[in-house]
Amino acid sequence: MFHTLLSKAHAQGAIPDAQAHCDIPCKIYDPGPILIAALTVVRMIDILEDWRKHRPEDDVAFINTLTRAIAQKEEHASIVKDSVRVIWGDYFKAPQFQQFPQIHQLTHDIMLEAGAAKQGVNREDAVKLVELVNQFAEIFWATKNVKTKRAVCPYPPSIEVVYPDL
Amino acid sequence: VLRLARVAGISMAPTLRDGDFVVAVSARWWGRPRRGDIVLGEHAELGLIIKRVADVDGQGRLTLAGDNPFSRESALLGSLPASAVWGRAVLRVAPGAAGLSRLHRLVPTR
Repeated sequence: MFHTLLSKAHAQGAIPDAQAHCDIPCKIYDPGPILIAALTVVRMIDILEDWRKHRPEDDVAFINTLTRAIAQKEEHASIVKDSVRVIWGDYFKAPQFQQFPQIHQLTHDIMLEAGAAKQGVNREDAVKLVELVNQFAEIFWATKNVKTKRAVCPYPPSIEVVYPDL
Repeated sequence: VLRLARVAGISMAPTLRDGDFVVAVSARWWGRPRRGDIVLGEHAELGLIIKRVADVDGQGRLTLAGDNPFSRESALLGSLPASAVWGRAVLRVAPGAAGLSRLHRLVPTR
């Protein structure tokens, strides 16, 4: 009862917030590293495919390089999931949600697609993941009124990525 | 003399949860905050903050900490001069059945 009354007063700006955050709110958010992680997932699948075609004679060396690429694919798909969740959970607040209500669905789609890219070696899944993160980046920059452009990244896997046009 | 604030964040959980309200009493009335008190203070960068007093040094500077074991920012928060402390939080207003409850001085164990 008291809480309900005070919540109304708070909504009208009559009661201030006292910060009790666990993190220092550093306000540094940037989807750039997430895109690099998503590109890495594509690249690792390309490398795995390449080795499938040119399987070396030395089995141990082959398994070693295979394992390393798979480990990197796992790790970078996880980085995508974690970092998208942090921006969605920490940076996005009511005004951004109002402006871009589709961010919830998009964030969830990224979770599923990153999961698919983590589990399998289907390049299409990884490319779709990059595209979803591209859309996430476009929305993120739009909330800051920063224009974006799309360009093919100048390194493998050479696919289209969103860059802020600062 | 009295001041209301809404808790934003989870560093004071489980004592205070995100979205709880607190009633604080001015330090001018209550006297200087002591170790174990929950205080409302002005932080240079973070603005109004709510934390528990972990330590008070000889000059009256306060080291603050959260109750949540995952709250690790104490060292980064730095210390606060006694003048930056507005007062002591004494009452918690939580949603639902929890309702009103007193907030007690709790001397942290080391």
